Parts: sequence; structure tokens; C-alpha cells
Amino acid sequence: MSSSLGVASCSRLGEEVASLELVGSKPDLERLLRLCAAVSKGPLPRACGELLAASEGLACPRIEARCAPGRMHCDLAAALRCAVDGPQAEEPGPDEDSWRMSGPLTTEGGSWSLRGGSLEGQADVLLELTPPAGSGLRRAFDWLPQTPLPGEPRLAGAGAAAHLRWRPRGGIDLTARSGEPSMADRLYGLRNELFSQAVLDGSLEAVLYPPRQGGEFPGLAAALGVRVPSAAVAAMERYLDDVQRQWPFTRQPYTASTAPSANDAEPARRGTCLVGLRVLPELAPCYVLDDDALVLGWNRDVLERALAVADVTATATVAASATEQASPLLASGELARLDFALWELADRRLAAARQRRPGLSYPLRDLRVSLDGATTGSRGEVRLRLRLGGLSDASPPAGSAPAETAAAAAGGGR
Amino acid sequence: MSEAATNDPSRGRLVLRVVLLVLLLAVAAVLAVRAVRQVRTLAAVDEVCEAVGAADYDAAVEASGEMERLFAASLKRSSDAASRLVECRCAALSARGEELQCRREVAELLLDEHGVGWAPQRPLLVTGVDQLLADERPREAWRAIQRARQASGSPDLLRELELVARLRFEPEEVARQVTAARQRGEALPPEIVYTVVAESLSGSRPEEAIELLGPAPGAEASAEVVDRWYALRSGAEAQRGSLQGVVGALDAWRRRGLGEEEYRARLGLLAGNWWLTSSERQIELLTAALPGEERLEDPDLAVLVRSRLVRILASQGQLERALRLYDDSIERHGRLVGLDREELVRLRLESRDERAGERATSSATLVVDGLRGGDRLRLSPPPGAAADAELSELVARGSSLVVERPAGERPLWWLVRDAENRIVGRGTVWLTPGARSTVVLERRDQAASAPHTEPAVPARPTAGDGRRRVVLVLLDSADWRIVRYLLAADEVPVLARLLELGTRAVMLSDPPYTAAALAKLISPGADTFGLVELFHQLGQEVEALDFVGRNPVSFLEALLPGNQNLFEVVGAGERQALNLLQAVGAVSEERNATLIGPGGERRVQGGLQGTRQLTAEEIAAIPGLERDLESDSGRHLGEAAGELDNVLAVLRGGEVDLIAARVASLDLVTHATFGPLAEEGQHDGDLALLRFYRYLDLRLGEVLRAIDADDLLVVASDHGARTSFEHDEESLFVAVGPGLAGGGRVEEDLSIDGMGWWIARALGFERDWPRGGFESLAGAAAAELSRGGAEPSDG
Repeated sequence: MSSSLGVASCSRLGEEVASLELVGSKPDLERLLRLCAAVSKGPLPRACGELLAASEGLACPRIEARCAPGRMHCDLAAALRCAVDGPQAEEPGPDEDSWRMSGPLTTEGGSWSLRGGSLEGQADVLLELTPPAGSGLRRAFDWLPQTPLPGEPRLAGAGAAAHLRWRPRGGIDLTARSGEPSMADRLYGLRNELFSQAVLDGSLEAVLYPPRQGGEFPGLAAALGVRVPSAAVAAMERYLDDVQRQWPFTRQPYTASTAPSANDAEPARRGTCLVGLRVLPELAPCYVLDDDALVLGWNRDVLERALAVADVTATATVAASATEQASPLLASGELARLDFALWELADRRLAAARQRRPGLSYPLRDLRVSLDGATTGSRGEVRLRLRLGGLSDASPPAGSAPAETAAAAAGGGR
Repeated sequence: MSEAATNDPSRGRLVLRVVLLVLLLAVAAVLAVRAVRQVRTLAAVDEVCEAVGAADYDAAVEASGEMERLFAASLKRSSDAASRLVECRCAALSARGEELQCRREVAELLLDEHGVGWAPQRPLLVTGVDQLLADERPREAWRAIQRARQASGSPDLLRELELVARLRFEPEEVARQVTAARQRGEALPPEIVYTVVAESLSGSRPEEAIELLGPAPGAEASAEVVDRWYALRSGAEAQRGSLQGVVGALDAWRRRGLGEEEYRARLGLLAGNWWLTSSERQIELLTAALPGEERLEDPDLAVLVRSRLVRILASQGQLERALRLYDDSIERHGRLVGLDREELVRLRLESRDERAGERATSSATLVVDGLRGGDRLRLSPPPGAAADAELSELVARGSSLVVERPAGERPLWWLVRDAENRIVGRGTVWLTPGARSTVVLERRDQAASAPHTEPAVPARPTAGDGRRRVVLVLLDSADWRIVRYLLAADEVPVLARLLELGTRAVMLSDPPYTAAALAKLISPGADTFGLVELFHQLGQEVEALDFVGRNPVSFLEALLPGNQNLFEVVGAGERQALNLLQAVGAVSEERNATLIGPGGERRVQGGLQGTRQLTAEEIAAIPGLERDLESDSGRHLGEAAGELDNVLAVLRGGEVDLIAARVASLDLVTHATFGPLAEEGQHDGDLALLRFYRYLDLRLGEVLRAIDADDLLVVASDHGARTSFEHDEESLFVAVGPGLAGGGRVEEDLSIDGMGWWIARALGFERDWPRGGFESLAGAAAAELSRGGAEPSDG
């Protein structure tokens, strides 16, 4: 096999070289590989399938496979064997992880590792990411969480296939990039004060809803915390002034009506919608100021779903389904939640709009992400706890996802 | 003999004298050399300054060419000489309009290792420190100030700028020190306090600014200090979103002398700029500030009020009023800030576009005046005509032509040729349903816009060599209607030749965005779609942005079902396929420039470039292009040049069988410069977007010359352009090759879904991929291939 798992590191001089390896309880690892192999026919699931096949040919309680550090390609399945020597061959203690996988993150260095215990029902897996020194990817690490956000989510998580909220470790500051403004900066005004730490407080919340029935695009909305609300609105309007000079869109004042259950005294939320873009499907972005955050939506409908102004249960996303009851919304302190039942619904609708079929299956009900212990380590690493919910046996092979059920198609849940 | 000589005292003295003489000569020589160098250095400095004195700025800049070396040399002579040199060079650079270069050089010299001990005059020092701050290098600015203080022996030099610098990297510490000093009752100079307050405001810390300002300016404060205090306080109140606070501060200021007109102007500006109230109320407040504006002490305030009012009127859709106010403002004040009239006109056009549905079918009347008998008026095809339809033509018998037609949803482009076939005017008009639109032709001598040197267009490809190659040039966002407009003006002769030699079609690309189109072209067999694929496509869409450069979610490829792509299919056997579709000005990035084959081997094609400067011949071939080089279009032209050079280099190399390249920069140019082409008026073709097309046409001529009669050349686009912010599903498609009818047209629209199948088939690979209507083209191309030479093996 020469797989994506088989990319070993070629790190910079002086940086620790990560090697690709896998070790631990054979039943637990096989369960993990089975889940992975069921996701799709892509390179990673195919590699998992090959490893699984290799493991099933071994008769021992624990297995291991390892590639030499610095190797660009590595046949991990061929290297798989029973763990016969050393501590790896021993059963872990009750508090120890039963399996572990790790490898290089990029050819420039950095590493990832996954470890956990038995994968049944609901299980926790620890993911540690260490950034490579001085590569472009290191900037991507600035978007990983520094801390969860306190308090309750601002955006409506009901019906969301994904919901995340955290404070990125690098803050949110597009103006801080060094060097001359790029063409994109000039065209889209990205060095505008709006995107600076003077305006934004660095908190970020986002939701992703499945497309409406017959829709071509999922609903994306985000809330960006601001330091001084009125200054943020002013900065946003100035930004739109600037961008409008480059791009001739039409601005429409927008006032979000309050949620059906809201107090009548609650002030209306004011903002702006941009119409006439027609660059990406259904894109007509809107924003409103909601207390101390700018809330942006892919279009007015999405914004109102995110603000819980629209009745999300009455439309084609989901009703208060049994799945939702079993899969509560983003909890305090959590960074992210992915609801794979809604993810599947989104796939079905996107595929239907393009006369295709979904290509991925999701063997989990949901995935919740939280920070594990200290937010960052000495090398800039981040440790995340992934809670896998509703673990089942591997789903049917990719591509055989059932057609959208009549109930879901009618907007009545699954 | 030798003993006698050794003991000879006179000989010993002689030796000593000689040694001393040699030493003296050596010292004298060193001194002389140094003196010569010193004189040379000072003379060089004099030369620079004298050239400035003689207003020969180019000579001054040239004489100070190796600035760093000359600076170091002059500094060895004296600090004054060095300062003089820098001042003179800066003066020369500024006179040449290169003030930024001057500022940057001074900034670097302040930090230069040779400059330790150098303290320039205050203006120069301020220039350098300001630039360091502007470049977000506050620590270096602070260091430069410390060095200058040490060198000059002035410990208080640039106290305010030092604070500004420190505020950038330790704002809380500076604010704490200033607050503590005030609490201790220390009398800090107001300029220090106000500098810190201004920085607090620029960092969006209004509460801190209010705390630093204190409750009120002192009773003894000068009028200037009082004004500054209230200006800062009202600004801080605005920044924290308190209209009440702004009114309170302005009321208090009025009691201490603020004039009524300035009161209204400041209130309107703060409420408008900081969005402290509804749009309607902002308009009221700003409008109330207009009467009596001529009595404002600061005329800039009136300009700012009017600028803000025009802007908010425009954003509220009151475009006619905004335009009237704009014109009135220009008449009264000569300028507005951050606005131009074209922009307002464009917005007005856009607002008309909201009524597009109504306009599509409603009849309108166009009157063209200023014609002469025998003039031929050419107009964009009417609504409903195919995207590739030619412009319609009417012959004038008198001075006017009247045309009845549906108003349509697009701008109507017109062109007039006289009886001698010379173009005498070109422009754009928007028809209004049920109304009469009039174009008054201003006859122009269009000879000025003709190329200085008419590029030679190859008659046809050279004789075939028995081997089929496929060259696809994907012009990102190229639009059939624009091409037709240029064809009508005879400005794209190579495209005209391609239409003669080959077959054209309207190709539909739905959804009309690049990543989706590329996905269909590169992986025609993909039959799955979902969120992961969508995010991956969006990543491809943003990788075209130059600061992104690569797909930020490329890791998702690990999950995407592995559909064999077009290049892998072609490169699996004996052939080679090169993907330059994703080379957005940066060919070294991963998938960009991936060459596959023979035998499926993958490697990055070497020897390619991302961008290059246009040659003098290229610039001369297209009048007006030199102006575009100075704008953002210049960089895009450079990228297009590099991308097409790459196609030509690979073609001439002769080894690659499939070359697919995208000119991504046309999309950015279209977004940035379509506006003027949609704007009503007579432009006479003097538009950056049209020149960009003409440049691409020029280069396509080279591609046409590089292929032979057995090759297949496809010029297409991934989507069209309706306006600067709207893509169009209808895309360009022209193909020249064996079996393709010259001057032919595919009557049914093609779909981009089938282009990958068609290209694979043309190279002899049959795949069960979507055909998208390309079947009618494929048969002929495959038949020619079998006649052309050895059948490639299907990997």
C-alpha cells in the first residue's frame, strides 16, 4: 500500500521527526479501522480497509505497525505485526489508552496523534496536533481554539449539522498579515479595520445547516464578537462602502424581527443585506448586530435561522427529532458539535440538486469536541477531546446511502 | 667587510632615516588617500544636492545610486554630510513622485548599523519614524528614537512619537503611566495626553480614552486645548455608541465657544460615521448641517459632511438625490472624500437592474443621433438571442436611427462605422421599458486606438506531424457577448480566425463558478457529491486568491472518493498530460503544473513561471495598455503573460499530449473592471477589460502558430460574466482541429460536464463519462486521430 497514511515526515533540520505508527489493542484498533473504512472510497478509508484486512490476518491481542522517521512513503499495512516485544505487547492498565496512532502532519514537520480506549456506544478519543515550525500551516494553527467561549451559544444550534464556538489562538485579525496588501486584499478590502483586533474581540461562533429542500447550498452563519458594538457597525458599514466601490452590489437595510417568543420590548436588530451578487448559489449575505456580536448569514433565510427568528422546526431541516433529543445542542465549554444525521441529510440534498448521489457515510451519530487540559503546550500543540457518539458497526459502503426519506423530504424530521 | 659595515654608525643612521622616511611617506599616502576619498565623498554629496538644486531629479537619484554605501561613507566624514545627502536624495525622490521610497529609505537608515551616532534633523527623523510606524514596526521606531536621542544628546526628542510607538506594543503600560501621572497631579503636557487618547481611540478603547481625558479641560486651558479635548471626548462617546454622550459633549463644547454650524456638522458626522442612529435620522442630521456650511472655519468639515451624506443616501437607494448632491458638492467644494461619480452612476444602474424581470420583455426605444448617411450602427443582439450571436446591423440614411426592441437585462453595446468602414464611436446604453433612450454620437477618429503594429494572424496551423495533441486554454470568465463586441470592432483577429477555422458553441456551466467547472472538467466521472466535496470545491475557489494560494481544505482529499481524473487517464499509458488549470500565478504549488505520464508517473513540470513583465512589443501592440500596467490590471496582465508563456513553452517542447491551462487573471480583471463597460456613455473602447481581451487574443495567435494540423486547440471559459459581480452560465467555446468544420456551430448548447469526455476521446480514450452534448463533435475528432498515427495505449 502507498496511502495517505503512508506519508512520513521530512522535517526541517532540528525539528523532531514524527514517525507514522499505530499500536494497541487489536479489537479496538480493528473497530476504529472498520469505522474509518466505511466512510467513503477515498484514499484514507481505503488505507484503513487495507490495514483492517492485514490486522484480521493476525492472531494476537495487540498489534503494531511503524515506519521509519523521514520516510516519504510507507506501507503501513505491510509493516503490521503482532506486538511481541516491549511494553507495547502488554495489556494497558485501567487508566491507560488501549491504542494509539500518530504521524507527521506535513512534509515540513508537525505531528498528529490519536489515542483512546474501547470504541463502543460513546467513546472519547484524544487528538493532539503539533504545528510544524515556520511553515504556512502554522498560520492555520492560529485558527485552532485557544479557549472555549463562556456562556450560552448565541446562534441557534437546533437543526445545525455543525455548530462551533471558540476563541482562535491567533485571534481574528486579517489586518495583521505582514507584507504588501495582496490583490485579494485590495479586491475584497481584507485589510479593512473591520477585520482587526481593534474591532473584533476574537470570539467566533458558526453554524452550518443542511440546504433547504430543493436547495443547492447549505446555510452558513457566523457570529463574530466585537469590542464596541456601535464601532463595529460603523466599521462594517464603512467596509461595505469600500467594497461597494469595487463591487457593484445593492445594499438593502435589514431589520431582524425578534424571535416569536421574545419579549416585545426587545429592540429590533438592524443590519444590511447585499443583493445581486450571484457569485455562489444562494449567496446574498446579510449581517445584523446582535448585542456584542456581528452575526452574518449566507442569506437572509440562513441569518434568521441562526438568530432563531425563523421557525427552524417548521422547515425542511429537521423537526425535534428523536436524534436531536438524544443529541443535545452544543454544551457549555464545548468547542464544536457535528450532527452526522443532519450531515447525511445535507449530503442527500446537495447530491440531489446535482443529479448525483452522496459519496460519504457517517458511522457516528455525532462528534463533540472540547479542549483537553491545558490549551496549548510548549511547542504550540493543541489537545482536543473528541467524543464519538452513537458508535455503531460500520455503515453500509459509501454510495449506498438511502434516498431521503419522505418524512425528511417533507421537512418533518427523520 | 660585513663586520665593518655593521659597526659603521653613519650607515646605521642612514638606515634609520630611510625607515623613518618610508614611514612618513606611508602615513602621508594614507592621509592623502583618505583626503581624496573624503573629497570624493563630499563631492558626491554635493553632486546629488546640486542636481536637486538644478531640478535635475533623475540625475540626483542616479548620483545617489548606491545610497547605503554613500551614506556610510558620508557618515564617516560628518553627520551633517550624511544628513545633507539623505535630505537631497529624498527631495529628488519626492519630486519624482517616489515619496514612499524616500520615507522607506530614511526609515532603514535610522536603523542602519552604519548610522549609529547619526542624528538627522528633526523633519527627517520624524519622516523615518512615521514610516516605521506606518509599516507596523513600532519597536524599531522606538529604537530609532532612542538612537537619535543618544546621538543628539536630546533626551526629550520626539516624546509624542515615542509614546505613539510604545502605545503600539505596550499600550496598557503607557496608558497606566499617563493615568498614574495624572492621578499624582503631575501636569502632563496636553499634547502627550491627547496623543495617548488618540491612540486609545484608534485601538477602539473609548472608555480608556474618556478616563485619560478626565472630566473636563481645565478652566485656564487655551481655546486650542479646549477644542482638542472636546473633539476627542465627543469622538470617544461616538465610539462607545452613545449618541446621548456625543450630544452632551457637543453641548458643553458649544457653551465654551463652539459655533452653531460646526456643532451641527460634528453631530451629523459623528452620528453618521459611527452609525449612532437609524439611516433616516443620520440623513436628517447631516442634511441639517448643510445650511451655513460656508461659515465653517474648517472647510474640510463641509466636505466630510457632504461625503457622508452622499454615501448614506446611496446606500439607502436614494441615488438620484445622492447624484444631485454629489454634483452640487463638486461645484461648491471641488471634491468629495472616497467617492466618485461613476460609482454612483453604476449604483443607479444596478438599482435599475432590480427591475430586470420587467425589463426583459418590455419594449423600449433607442434613438441614435449624430449619424451620417451610410453609417452602420451595430447593436448587441436582442434579448433571447444566443450568447454567441453576432451584433445586429442597421444602415443610417439620415442623421438618426430609431430602434424598437425589448429593454433586456443587460447593457446594450453599440458601435458605429462610417461609410468607409472606420469606427467613429462605441459605447453602452441601458434601455428603459416604455421609454426612449437617446445616444448622441460624438464622432471620433478611431485611428488613434488602432494598434501601432498590426499583429500577424496565422492563416492556419502548420502541416500535421501525424500525432494528436490537445491544447485547452481556459479563459476564466471569458464572455461570449464581450468577445462578439470585440469581434465587431475587429479587435480580436485571432479569435476571428479561430471561428473561421473551427467550430463554436455556447457551453453551459452550471453552477457558474470556477471550482465547480474545474471539478467537472478534471474529474468528469465523479458521480457523488456532498458537504465534503462542496467544501473542497470552495477551497479551490479561494485558492485563486493570491494570499491563499492553495486549497486550505486540501486535507479533505483523503476522504473524497478517488475518481480517476482526465489527466490520470491520459497519462496512464504512453502519453503525457499536464494540468495547468490550477496554476493561479504560482506554478510551483502542488497540483499546479502536475505532469502525469507516461506510465502514470507524476512529477512537477519544471521550467515554468508564474508571472512576467510585458514586452515593449506587446505593450505597443495594444494602445492604452501602458496605462493598465500602472493599475491592478498590470499584475494580472503579467500573470496572463506568464501563464500563456507556459503553454507555449510546453507546446514547443513537443512532448506533452494534453496541455490544459487556465488564465485565472481574466476573472479578477472582469470583476474589477467590468463596471465601466456596463456604464452608460460613449467609451470608444478605451477600457481596461477590453484591452485585456485584446492582449489575450494577441497571445492566442502565438498558440495558434505553435500547433499543427493534427492538434486540437480549444479556447473556452469556465463561465461567462453578466456584470462585474455576476457570473453567467453561458460560456465561450471554440475548437480548431481535424474534422471540426470551419465556421461551424453546434446548434444545441453544450454542457461543460462533457468536455472531459470529449478531450479524452479525442486522445483515444473511451470513458463512460457524461457527454454533455459533445457527441456531435467527438466522432469527427476520433476519426482523424485513427488516421493520424499510432493509437495510444489505453492505460
